[in-house]
Formats: sequence, structure tokens, C-alpha cells
Amino acid sequence: MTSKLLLLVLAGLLTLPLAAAAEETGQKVYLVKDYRYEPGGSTGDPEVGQSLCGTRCNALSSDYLNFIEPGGWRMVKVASDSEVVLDLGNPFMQGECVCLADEYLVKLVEYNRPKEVKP
Amino acid sequence: MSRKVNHIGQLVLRLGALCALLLLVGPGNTFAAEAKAQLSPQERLRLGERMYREGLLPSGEPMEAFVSGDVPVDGTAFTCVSCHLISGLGSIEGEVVTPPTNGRLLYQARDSYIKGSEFVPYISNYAKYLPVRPAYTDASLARLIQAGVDPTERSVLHVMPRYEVGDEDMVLLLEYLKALSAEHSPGVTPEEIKFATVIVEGTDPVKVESMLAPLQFSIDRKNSLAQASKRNDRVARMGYNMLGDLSMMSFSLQHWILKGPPETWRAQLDAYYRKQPVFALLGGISEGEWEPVHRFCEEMKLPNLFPVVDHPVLSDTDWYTQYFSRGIRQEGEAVARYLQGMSELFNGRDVVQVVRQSRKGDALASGFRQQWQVAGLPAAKEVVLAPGEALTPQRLEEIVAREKPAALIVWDDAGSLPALSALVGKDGAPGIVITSGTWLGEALWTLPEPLRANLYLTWPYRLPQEDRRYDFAVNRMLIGKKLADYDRVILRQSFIAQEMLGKALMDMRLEFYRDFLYDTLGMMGDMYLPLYERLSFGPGQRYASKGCFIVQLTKGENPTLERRSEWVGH
Amino acid sequence: MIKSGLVMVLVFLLIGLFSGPAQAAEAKYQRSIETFSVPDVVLVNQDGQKVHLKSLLESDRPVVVDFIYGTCTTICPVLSAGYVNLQKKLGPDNQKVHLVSITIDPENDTPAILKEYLTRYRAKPGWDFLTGSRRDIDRVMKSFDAYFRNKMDHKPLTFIRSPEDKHWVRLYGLLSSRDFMNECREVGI
Repeated sequence: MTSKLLLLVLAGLLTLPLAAAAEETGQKVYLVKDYRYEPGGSTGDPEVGQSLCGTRCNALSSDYLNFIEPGGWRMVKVASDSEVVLDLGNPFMQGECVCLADEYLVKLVEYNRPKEVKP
Repeated sequence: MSRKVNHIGQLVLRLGALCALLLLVGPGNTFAAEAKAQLSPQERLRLGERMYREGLLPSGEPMEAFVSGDVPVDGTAFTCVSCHLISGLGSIEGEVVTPPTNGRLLYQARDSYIKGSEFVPYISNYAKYLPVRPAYTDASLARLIQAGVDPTERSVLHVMPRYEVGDEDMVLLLEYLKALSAEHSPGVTPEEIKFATVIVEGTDPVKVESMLAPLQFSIDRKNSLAQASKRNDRVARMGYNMLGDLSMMSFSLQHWILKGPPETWRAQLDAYYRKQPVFALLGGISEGEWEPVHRFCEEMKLPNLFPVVDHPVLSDTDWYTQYFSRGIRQEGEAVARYLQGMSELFNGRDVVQVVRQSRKGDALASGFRQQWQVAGLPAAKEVVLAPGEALTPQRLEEIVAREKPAALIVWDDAGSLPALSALVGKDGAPGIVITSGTWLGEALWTLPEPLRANLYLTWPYRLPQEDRRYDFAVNRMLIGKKLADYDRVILRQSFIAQEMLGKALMDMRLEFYRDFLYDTLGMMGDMYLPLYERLSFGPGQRYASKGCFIVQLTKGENPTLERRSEWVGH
Repeated sequence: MIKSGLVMVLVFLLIGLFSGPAQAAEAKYQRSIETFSVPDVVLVNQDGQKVHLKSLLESDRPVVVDFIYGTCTTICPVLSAGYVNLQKKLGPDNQKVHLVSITIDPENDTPAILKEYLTRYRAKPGWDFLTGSRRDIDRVMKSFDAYFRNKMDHKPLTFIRSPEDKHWVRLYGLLSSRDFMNECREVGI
């Protein structure tokens, strides 16, 4: 009885690293809620900067429906209201964009997923 | 107040009729009673249709309408078609259910269920929202339109306007309503719905097969359900519960193959249709022309859902073909929108488009040019490369040195990459360089590293690493077959076609009218399906994908695409 | 004192009973006072011009906002008829109020389509129709607590901002012109 128990515990322990590895995989995605332009010393029209940061931060953001609609995937929130700082990335204007985002990991839900058919 | 207005309204109508009578005696009035009687049936229907769709009386004047009880509006801003839709079968928007207004249904009593589909949940749920009423008569229908009161004395004026329509004009309108969606469209019997797909002979067989496979799979699956329903009561009950009578119907898909030059296609299409009229066309494929098929569908009022074509016909008003997108020119438009956002920073420097002369290049350049012009910006300089003319590094350097552009756009295939690479880091290089991600083909994935941070690309699809999520749904259609034998993009496009057809049929409440197919599609929300980041629909909207990303390729051996813009921007 | 008060109440009730039959047409609407924080986004108007939404809405004139889209069939025509009527009543004073419509279908509604919509309703200056990026429009909708995931599920909502107390009157439902004008009057339009 105890040997069986020990075997079970051993089996459990062995699968732990696998489970941990599974926890780390998954695609990181951002849902951006707000953004602002930080000129940081450059002299540019702040309204243009705000507009360009809009493009930049919105490009970083994902459409959550893209993950939910196909089915078999789930989004796990890993951070709220993170400030993701990106370079404005524009050749004509300097500065940074601060994107306020919630971070998610998108993971496969093995037990929920329809049977994948290998063609 | 409605009764008072009705009273006044009737007085006005009577006075008006009297005046009209007096005027009719006079010469030069094109709508004298005798003239009206001489109108052919088609002309009468056309006038009725004009009232229904455009809000114009036979005299050419706009109908006067009163909305929210008392707000006068032009009938052209509040047409019947805007709520009751082209098919007249009504709409559902938010909390407002617009009932059908076609004669066949108006002149029947309405209960809180639809006869014949009492036990089909999706139909009976819809029917619950429609108020119960006795059948209309000509008189009570006229009263509804003129006074906004239905046969149960219920007022509809909080959502439906009342219209000032004279008695003679009302006759024409009622005639039109009686003819509207009176009989199911051709190609539909109680047992079967017939479809066809148009294939231009000579198209790459891999592409043809990629277009056909998902459609055929879907149709076979539907027919298996119909067969199983006939043999097994339990399946029949489940099927009936979900789809009503549609569960027992089978579908067929003919192949209409077009041979020879495009000028001869119309005759072939007419012959195919005469031999076997179909309810709608599904998919279809052409690597070149498509316009003759588009025209055929417009004239025959025959829907064509999602043909796989490189050159869709662009129109703001055509109705009968639903396309995936506006074609490759959409990439040009996306570049214009992206650059518009930063054009103030160009400091007077030009934008230069280098275009490989070809149907593709011309479409890309035209897409950019038109969007740029709409934004009111000074036209971009254009350099045309003749077919076969190489874009050497020297040539490109020469262009850049001469024009000193703030932004350089190159519409060409992977042959342009060496020249683009040579520009990187050079003195006076443009601030931003953009090219078409799709035209580069496979070479996109092996861009030289120094170029990656300095080249922007158009990408009119969802990012590949995110589109993977839809693989299992698409692959399910290819059981027993090798994915590598198919064109990945076309496979996904065809998946969309069969998916949207299924959704539309399920929403149509067994009212198989071609116009209602489009009215139904127009009421669908945004769709997240394989390939395109987002598909959107709406009344009259015929190009489902409206976006295109601007992206860059990341570093390293397993690069991915990263977005630099949103799917749709303004 | 109380007796005359009661008489007053009775009189008002009687007036109410006989002041024209309440139209079965007059559907009830819901009214509430809200404060919203307008996001700092740049939208585009029907003339293709960039519009800084925050400064547009937080102005010193009264502002009316609704959410519609160009190919909308049922609710939007009623909302827009309300704007048409308001502009008519304002007459030459139509710049006194800023009427703003924001699209909930930015995918399709390009400035050209916005312009065509306004032309169809014979809008006068003082009524702007805005579009923008999908994300930014979503943010604007959320800030007004009027987010619809699916544009087909949108509800009839109108917002009126009073420049004095900077609050928004939220009107939910399809209002008759009389009710809409009353609401506008209360805000000082």
C-alpha cells in the first residue's frame, strides 16, 4: 500500500517539471488600454506624437476576439496596467510611447480542444 | 395627437385629391389618370420600387415623412428599404426588430409563431418579437403607411415614420409590396438548394482544387446530415431542432467551366443558367478577368459569394457579388493611410512610388494614389519600371538622389531586394521604405538582416503566428489529404465562403430569397475566421476584409512579422 | 397652505391628463446624469481632418454625442432625424451647439462615407461625424459606457454635455422630438 503510494508520489513529482514547462509556454499578448507620448527632450508637435503613439501602441495590442473565437485557446492574465515603453520608431520624430496594457499568455487548452486531425 | 394629425392628414389628403383631380384635367400633367392606366406592369412596379428604395414619388418629388410622431424628414433619408431591406423581409438591429413588409406576409395574419416552424427554436424565438395582428387589407395597409397605426390600433410611430402618400401613388406602392419577395428564388425546391461555382479553364489546378475542397466538403457534410435524418429519427429530431426544414434539404454544386476569351463567357454563363438555374454561386476562381461574371450576376440578380479572384470589380453600388477584399490595391491604400499619419513631418519632401508596370503594380500604385489624394496631400512622384527592366541598385540610388524622398515605396517583386538592401545606411536614404509583403513571396522570410529594420511591408492577413490557431478548423476539411498539395491562402478563403454560407442559411428562417441572403449577410457582426484579421459586414458592404497591416520582419533565423499599424486606420 | 398645495397638485394632474393624448407612440426613455473621462485620442472627421476628441468635447458650448454608423438601417435614422430637427430649430444659431456623431463601424466608415451620410440628412455646419482607428473608437465607446462588441447590437444612446457643470445627460431610447428638445432646453441649448 505504501509502496503504491510512493510510486504515485514519484509519478507526480516526475510530471511537475513538465507541468511547469507547460505553464511557461504560451504566446505573450498585450491588450492596450491607453497610451501617451513622452517627448523626452525632443521638440516635436506633441499632438503628432500622440497620434503616432496611438498607431504604435494600438499595433502592439491584440484583438482578444482573435483568441476566443477559434476555440480551444484561453487567455491567462499575467499583469494588469503594465507600462510598456516603446521607442516611437519613427524616422522623423524622436520620443517614446508608453502603452498602458494588460498582459496575457495565450495557451492551448488541450482537454478542451477539438480533436486535431492530422491531414 | 396621432388621431388629430390623422384627422388633419385625411383632410389634407382629401383636399389634395380634389386639387389633383382638378389638375388632372389640365394638359401637360404626366400623371393624368389615363396616363397612369397606360403604364405597363413593369413601369408600375418600377415606380413602386422607386418609392420603396429611394423615397421618391412617381412625380419625382421626395415623399414627405414624419418620424418620432412629429419630426418632418425627407423621405429620401428615411426610405422603406433602409429598415425593411431590399428583400422586404425585415431586419434585427439592437433592440429593434423590423418586421417583414413583403405582400405575401403582410396579407396573412400573424401569430406569435410561424406556421410550419413552431418547434424550431431559432425561428420561434424570432417570431416572438413580432406583434400579433390580423391580415392587412389594402385599406389598413394604406392607413399604416399614412398614419402609422396598425390593424390592432397600435401605433408604430416611435420607430416607423408615417408617409404622405396620395391614394393613386399608394396603389403603386402596394402593388410593389405585393410583388416583393412573393415567391422563392429559382434554384430552390422543398428538397434541394442548387449552387454552382464558376471556374475559368486554364486556372492552375492546385488553386482550383484548393477552392473546391472546402466547398465540396461542406456540401457533402450537409448532405450526409440530410441522409442520416431520413434514416434515423434521433438525427432527424436534432437536425430539425437546429435547422428546421433546412435539415432535410440537400445541396448540389455544379461546376460552370468558362472556356476561351472573356468576351465569350457571358453566352456560356447564360447557357449554363438556362440549363439549370441555381440559387446562388459559391466561390469561383479566375487568375485574370472576372468582370464578365460580375456583370452577369448583377443583371441576373444572382448572388456570388466569395469568388477567389485577383482583380475584384470595385463598385460602391453593385449588389450581387461579395468579395473577400478590394484586392491587392488595398495594400496601396494601407500604405497611404500609414504615411498620412506622419506626413506633417516630411517637411515638404516628396513621396516617391516606384512601380513595376503590370496589373498588380498598377493596382498597388492606384490604391496608394487615390487614398493619398483623398487626404488632400501633394501627389507622390512616380517612376515606372517597364516589364523586364531591372531595378538595379544604381538605378534606385539615382532616383533617391534626384528626388530626395521622405518616403520611398517600391511596388515590385523580390527582384527589387538587392537594390533596397543597397540603400540601407546610405547618405540621404529615405526616412521610410515600404514594399508589398505579398509580392515578395517566399523571399520575405529570408530578407537580409540589415534590411529588416529598415523595410516596412504590407501584410493583408492576420499574422501567421496568430493564424496558426485556425489550422485545426481548416485541416479538418482535408481529412486523408496532404496539406502540402494545396494553396494555403485559397484553402482558407474557401473555408470562409462555406462558413459564411452556412451562417447565412441558418439565419434566413427558410425564406430562400436571393436578396434576403445578402440582407442576412449584411446583418452579421464582425467575423474572426482563418486568414483575415477581421471580416466585417453591413448593409450594402461587399468587401469583407477592409484592412491591411504594415509590418516588419524580426531578426534571426526564425523571424516573425511584427505589426507597426492597426488593421484599419484612418 | 396644505389645502392649496393639494389643489395645485390636483390641477397639475388634471392638466396632465388632458394635455393631448399620450401617444402610444411616445415610448419611454431612460435618463441619467453621468461623468465621463473622454480619452485623449485623435479621430478624423467627414472632411478628413484630424480632430482631437478631448478638446472637441470638453468645450464651452453644449455638445450632443451619439453613436451611429454609415450603413445603419433602423436606429440611426431616428437618432439623426433628432439632430436634423434640432438644427432646424436652432436656425442660424446652429453653431451654438456642437452635434457630434461617432461611428461604431470604423472599418467601413471612411471620411467619404461620413460625408455622404451627412449630405443625405442635409446636415448644416455644426454637426460633425467622426471615425478613427478601431481601437481608439472602442476606447471612446468604453469611456461613455456604450461599448458594443457587435455593431448590430448597438442601442439608441444620446449624450448631452452641459458646459457649466461638465456633466453628461445620458438618454437611452428613441426620443420624440418634443422630448429631445426638452432635454436640450434643460441643458441650456
